[in-house]
Order: sequence, then C-alpha cells, then structure tokens
Amino acid sequence: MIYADVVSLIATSITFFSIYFILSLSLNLEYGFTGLPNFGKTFFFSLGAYVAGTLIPRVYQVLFNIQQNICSADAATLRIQIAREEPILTFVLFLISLATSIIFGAFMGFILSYPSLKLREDYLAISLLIIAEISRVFIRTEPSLICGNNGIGGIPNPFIWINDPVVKELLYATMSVSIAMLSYMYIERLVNSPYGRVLKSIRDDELMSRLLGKLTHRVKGEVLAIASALSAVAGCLYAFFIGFVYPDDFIIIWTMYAWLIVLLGGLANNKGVIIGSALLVVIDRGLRIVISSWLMYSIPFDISYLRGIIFSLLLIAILLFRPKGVFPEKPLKTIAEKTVKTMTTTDN
Amino acid sequence: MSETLLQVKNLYAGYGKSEILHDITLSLKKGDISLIVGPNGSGKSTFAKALFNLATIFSGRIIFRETDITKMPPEDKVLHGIFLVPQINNVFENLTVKENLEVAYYSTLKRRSKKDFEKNLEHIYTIFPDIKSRINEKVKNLSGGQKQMVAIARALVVEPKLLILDEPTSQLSPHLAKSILNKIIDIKMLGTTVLLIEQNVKMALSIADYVYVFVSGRKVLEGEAEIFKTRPEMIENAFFGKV
Repeated sequence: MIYADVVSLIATSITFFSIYFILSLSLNLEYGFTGLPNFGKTFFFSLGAYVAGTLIPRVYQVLFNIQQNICSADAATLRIQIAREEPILTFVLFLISLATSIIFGAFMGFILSYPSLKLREDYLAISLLIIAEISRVFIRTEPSLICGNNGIGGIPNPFIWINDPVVKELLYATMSVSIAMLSYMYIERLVNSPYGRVLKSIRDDELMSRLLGKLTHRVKGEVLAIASALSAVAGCLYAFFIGFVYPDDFIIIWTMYAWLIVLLGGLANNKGVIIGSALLVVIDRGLRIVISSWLMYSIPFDISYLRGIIFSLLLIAILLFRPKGVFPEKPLKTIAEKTVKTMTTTDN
Repeated sequence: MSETLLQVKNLYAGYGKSEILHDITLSLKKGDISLIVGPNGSGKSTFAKALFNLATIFSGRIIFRETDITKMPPEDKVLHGIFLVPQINNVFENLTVKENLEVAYYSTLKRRSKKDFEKNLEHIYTIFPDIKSRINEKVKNLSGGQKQMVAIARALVVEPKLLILDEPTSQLSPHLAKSILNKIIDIKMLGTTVLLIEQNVKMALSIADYVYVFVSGRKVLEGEAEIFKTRPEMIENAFFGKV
C-alpha cells in the first residue's frame, strides 16, 4: 500500500513537473529570450483547460445522446463511464483537445499581440495581467461555456480505462513528460537558430534590431503565438489530469509559479527551467507532506499560507543572491561557431 | 565625375509636430566620406534618423540609387544597403561579439551564405584585429572603443553601400577617436560610401572628402574638404552664424 502511495506521489510529481515546465518554458521564450514580460500566463494556461472543458462534454453529449444537463454531476458520471468503455475514443478526444488547445492558444496569442505589442514593457505586463483576471471573471459569470462558477467535471483522463490507478497515473506522467521534452527540444532548436539571436537582439534593443533589418513586430507576434500555444498545452494537460475545469483555479498563482521557475533556473537558459520546475515540485509536494503529516497542528497560523511564504522568501533570496538564476545565460550554439573558433585558434 | 548615391531634396523633418530640419538639400557621391558637422542641437542626429524614417518627415524626398526611400520602413532600407550606426546604444550588450555580427548578417528577408560570412569576417579581422581575440566575449565586457568597433564591424558584415555613422567618436578618448577615424578610411577603401556625422571637426575633417555644415537645423555651408582644411575658420564662422 505504501509502495503504491509512493509511486502515485512520484507520478503526480512528474505530471506537475511537466505542466510547470511547459508553462515556464513558454515564459522563458517570451521574457528570457525576447524581453516580453508576460504577466498573463494564467490566461493562456487557462485557455487549454477551457478548450478541454468546453469541447469534451459537448462531444460526449452529441455522440452518446446524453439527455442530462451538461453541467450536472449525473452527466459527468456518465461521461466517465463511457470513457472507461471506449478507450480509443477517450484517447482520440484527448489528442483532439490538445491539438485544439495549440491552435486556439496560438491564435489568441497572435491576436492579443496586436494591441499588446504597441505598449511599453511595463504596460504590456499590466495589460496581460488584467486580461487574465477579466477572462477568469468572464468565464466565472458566463454559464454557457464551462458552467460558470460551478465549473465542469467529467473530463476523463485518457488512460481512465486502465483499472489500476497507479498504472494510469504513471502512464499519464510518462505522456506529460514526453510532451514536455518535445516542447523543450522544439524551443531549444528555435532559440539556438539564427531566429534565437534575433529574439535576443529584440530583447536587448528593439530599435537597433529594426535598424539591422529585423521585422521586430512580426517576430514578437510569432513568439507570443508559440508561447501561448505551449501554455495552452500545459493547461490542457492540467485539465485532463484533474478531470475538472473550474474558473477559480486559474488565478495569478500560475503566472507567479512560472516567473519563480524562470528566475530560479536562469533567464534565457532552458536547462535552468528544468531545474526550476523540479525544485518547485519538490518544495511544493514536500511541503504538502510535511504540512499534512507533522505541522498540521503545531504552527500558530493558517498552514495554507506556508507555501506562499516559502515561495516568496525563495524569490527574494534568488533576486538578492543569485539574480541570474542557477544557470546564467550562455551564448547560442549557432552555426559558424566552429569556424570562428578555428579561425581564432589558428591565427593566435 | 562620380555617381551620386543618395540625394536629399528639400527635406523638412522633426519630432511630432516640432520641425527640427528645414529645407535640407544634399547629395552624397559614391565612394566618398561625406561629413556633416555642426554644434549641439543643429539637427545632425535628427537628419540621420530622418534618413531612416525614425523621425517625422513633413516634406521632401530622399532618393537612394534612383529609388524614393522617403517613407520606406527602416528594415527595408537595410535591405537596400543603407546602414545606420547610432550614437548610443548601438550594440547588443548581452550578446557576444560573434552573435552581434551574426544577428546583422543572417536575415529572414535576404538569404546569405555561411561561406560569405566567413569571408566577411576575415575582412573585418583585418580592419579590427582587436575583435578577433574577443569574438566569443559578451559585448558588455568590452571597453567603449571596442564596443564602437563592434558596432561598425557589425555594419560592415552586411557590406552596406552607404554607412551612416552618427558621432562614432563622441564618447572616446582622442587616441581612440583617431583610431576609429582611421578605420573609417579603411572602410572607404573597401568601396563603401560613408556619411559621417561628427562634432569633432578638426579630426573628422582630416579624413573627409566633402563637408556639410548644419546650424539650427539648416545647411549653412558645404564644400570640398580640401577647402576647409586650408581655411578651417570658415566652419568656425558658420558655427557662430557668420556665414
């Protein structure tokens, strides 16, 4: 029993690591490499979850002619039952949700880039923060999408048809970490190409970059689209893992986690994001165990604040003692490096 | 008689609604080092910005090799072979020297080969040997003079037809300033036309072919550099409104 609990804890940690990692990777692309301070990560993250919450229940309602109200617990239970009996359909619907999240995330990122990118960095940050909060309030009060304030359940895990819950969790964790690694490889390839240098040039001095012939507005729009698509993927993975989409889940904390990870790991260094995400999961999961096992009745304040306090202290410590993060930025591994090295060594 | 590369006709420009440049007409000859001098606030830098559509152009025309480029966005001007090195913030401090050169060279709009980059790099090393040993270093670790060299080298890597240098010696010691100006002669030897904007009249005059004097946003004097070299008081008089 203890063995199953430990494996389950590891699987859950790996899944959360993957979700944090994909979300932070997208922020690193935006802020670390391009200098776009996106404080609306929660919004783009929530898009993936809303896609799952809007699409999946409706497909089930139509395909299986479910008569119950889409928001009801009965309908959610029916969806789960059907998903258990239809493994292929369950998995295909998950893949469709993931693909839709990518497209919708990229679309929203690109659309929002038009008004947003005309703003200076600090105003851009505030605007995106506000967009995230307004969207949450809108989804909360609009019942037609994910049942408003109540949220919507019955979003079946793609491996729900497997009877052993530990195997199910392990499979989901493996899939999540695979998607995270694919995202990592894609972003690494992107930033280590000449395109990555353009991103850094925009971050350092946008006007100078334009004077070198770079279409900076278009590039920034593309970056927001790519990063938003990745954030939506993370949100979609989260929704299928939790099995429930609830608007008040998408508060500013997701944005803060992403910032904490990127600052902890190191700006413009994706390896740092791996370490940052792992550290956050270890602290987060570890604290849950410590709090629930030992500290529950022994500390004189509400324990739910403890995580927040520790994360805040950690952030202050990073900014004070290691402002460049665990892994500081390094030059890109682009072409011509070998040639340049050969040229300099032979002549010296 | 050498070919005219750039013509500016009756240019009125400024910022917002405020007009800084009044009726500027000039032409740059291919292969020359043309010099614009003038006191502070004479509109020299505004002129460089106007050439790149970074200032408001009220009227007038800018013609580069028979193409009207007046309203062309800056990124397109680069593709036409015009390159501006601004007075300040002209390098990417967090990128290495090599990255600074590469970011200018590789373009999504114009395909350039890796071989040509290496060839250009060899040229740059002959003009700026200091760069060679620090090619993989972040630019923020370099001295002011070396940064300026990187900014100019970055322009050369794309082999511009017209290189506009906005006060490249403004923050340098006289020794370094002289060294930079000598490099500009080397650049001219490569066949690049240079528009040099300077406050340091005496030093800049020594390398120039043709001189324009700006005062209060107007072109008040122009002529062959040789004339001013023998009669430098003409420029001094122009600075103090005695033209």
